[in-house]
Amino acid sequence: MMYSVKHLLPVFLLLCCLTACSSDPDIPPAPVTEYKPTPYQLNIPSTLPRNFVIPPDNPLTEEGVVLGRHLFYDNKLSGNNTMSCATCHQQQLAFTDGKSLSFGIQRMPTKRSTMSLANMLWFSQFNWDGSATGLEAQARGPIEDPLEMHETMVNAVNKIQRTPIYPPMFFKAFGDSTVSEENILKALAQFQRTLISANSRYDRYLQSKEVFTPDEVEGMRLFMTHPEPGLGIRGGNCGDCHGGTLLSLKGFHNNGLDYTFKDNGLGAITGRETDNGKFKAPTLRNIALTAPYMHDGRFKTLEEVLDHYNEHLIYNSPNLDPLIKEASNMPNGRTLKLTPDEKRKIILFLHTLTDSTFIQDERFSNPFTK
Amino acid sequence: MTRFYKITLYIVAAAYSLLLSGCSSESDEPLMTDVEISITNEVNGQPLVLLDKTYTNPSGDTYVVHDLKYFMSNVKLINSRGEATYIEPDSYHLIDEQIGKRAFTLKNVKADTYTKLEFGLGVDAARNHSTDQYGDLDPSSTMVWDWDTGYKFLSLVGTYVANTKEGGLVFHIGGDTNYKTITVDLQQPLKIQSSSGNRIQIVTDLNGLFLEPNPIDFDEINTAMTGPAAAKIAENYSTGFFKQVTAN
Repeated sequence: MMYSVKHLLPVFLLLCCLTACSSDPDIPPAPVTEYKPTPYQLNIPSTLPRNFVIPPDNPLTEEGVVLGRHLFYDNKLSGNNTMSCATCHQQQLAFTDGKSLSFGIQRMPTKRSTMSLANMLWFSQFNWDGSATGLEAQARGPIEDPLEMHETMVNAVNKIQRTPIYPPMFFKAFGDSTVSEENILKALAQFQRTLISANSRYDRYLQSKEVFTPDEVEGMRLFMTHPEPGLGIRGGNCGDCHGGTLLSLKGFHNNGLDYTFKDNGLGAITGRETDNGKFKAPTLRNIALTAPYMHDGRFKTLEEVLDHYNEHLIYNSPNLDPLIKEASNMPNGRTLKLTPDEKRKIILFLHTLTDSTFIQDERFSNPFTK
Repeated sequence: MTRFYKITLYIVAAAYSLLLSGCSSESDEPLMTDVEISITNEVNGQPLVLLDKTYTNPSGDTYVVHDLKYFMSNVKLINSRGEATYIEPDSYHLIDEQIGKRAFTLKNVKADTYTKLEFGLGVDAARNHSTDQYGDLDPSSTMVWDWDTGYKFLSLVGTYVANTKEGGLVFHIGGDTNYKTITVDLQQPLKIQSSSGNRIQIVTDLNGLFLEPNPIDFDEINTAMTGPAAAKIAENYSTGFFKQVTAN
């Protein structure tokens, strides 16, 4: 049987009408007809390395990053719709929360402190214990953890699907308006990969755009130097774990906080006794904004942190990192043994790592309050 | 008539030589192939085990290795006529026990008979103070101090028990003067005849870092960066670390 032109004409007109609607930006929500994501241009600052890895199955796109930003700030990802990722990862605190231990929807503390999200693009092991090996995998943890956002991915998918705004955004980002767990996690990872912090005074100093005071220069030198008392070389030894321009060498270390461990950290993940008490050496970028410090937030100030390494280190802590065990400014010393003035200078240097543009960047802020 | 004959001769000669060169470029195309370099880091003849084994150095002190990393760079192959006919471009390889990276591949090596391997331990001065990323050079890796100081050439981190004391063993050897060019004889020449199975195997001995010409007693030296102690270990790695290099 043949269709006549007369029969097809209404179909043709309808198609024309649909196409016209979709290309008109003034009529939301327009039916999306074409999946054509725009690649997201990452501008890597000259002070940061070029060797980051983006998973081939989750390339950065403008649409994916926008979607990720919305999800990051959306309370629907929590069990009782009261928390988003941004509840603990607050931009003005370099994506931390100012608390010793982070809190979940039950207002109960978790066992660890919130970590900054600056420059996660360059990292491959996430959380204090390295338990997540990609940002996509990491994003699932806090959503599902009963002590954190306490939501199932299935429920989260359903809630997001039922909104008017998200299905078209998922289509634009991933070519499918049906929301999926995988695409929620991918979008969150994409947004986090754009959180680059590289406009601190330290960056500008490295680019010869800014001058440090003599005390800051000395603080930087001490920060980067492993002490060798036999040669008269004084050092704060920080750079052995927090070196490079990421201010983290991405390793896991026992830094001598305890003699017995309440939290085994990396050891709980690898099952190796020799990894017990080891935690990630986080980036120290924006460190003046991310107090309290350590995996359990036990130190309230940078002064307390310096005092720990300098005076209170538990030398007999099992698996104490050799880089720490060996480092003292006194022959056979068991702690750092810097002078109060040297500690003060290191703290001055740490303050140069604050990036005020990072914490005000509109692109990283809450899209729902604009 | 003579002139015509000459011209014809020229044309025939030219055509013939063209034909010859055409043929020769096919039959004499030199074989280019990969050569895999693999390294086994050993202590006293046993493959190095991180964390779980205790070793004894030549001075009788015991030690446990948490990590061993070093750069092999500017790799060259020297043929039986003494010519460095293979020079790897942008040649920086990090040997990393922590992640088990103990091999790398030389690309486009011309068929020849090679009798020596030459490489640098560390990073040459030209690249040591730059943030350029060639090969395994990575200014955000654990092998860097900061931009001014450059790279650690060799990092050996662990713990030790000596006669009079015990503690952390931190040998971070760097500094331009400690970049050493090392030439080793292959125990049998590497004769490249086919495009597969060309390998050079290198065996090191960690205790070679502590033996000659400068015996290292952990009672006296348990840490080194760029000072005299580092210079001693660098002299040791230039002579006594790479024990055995074989080809097949």
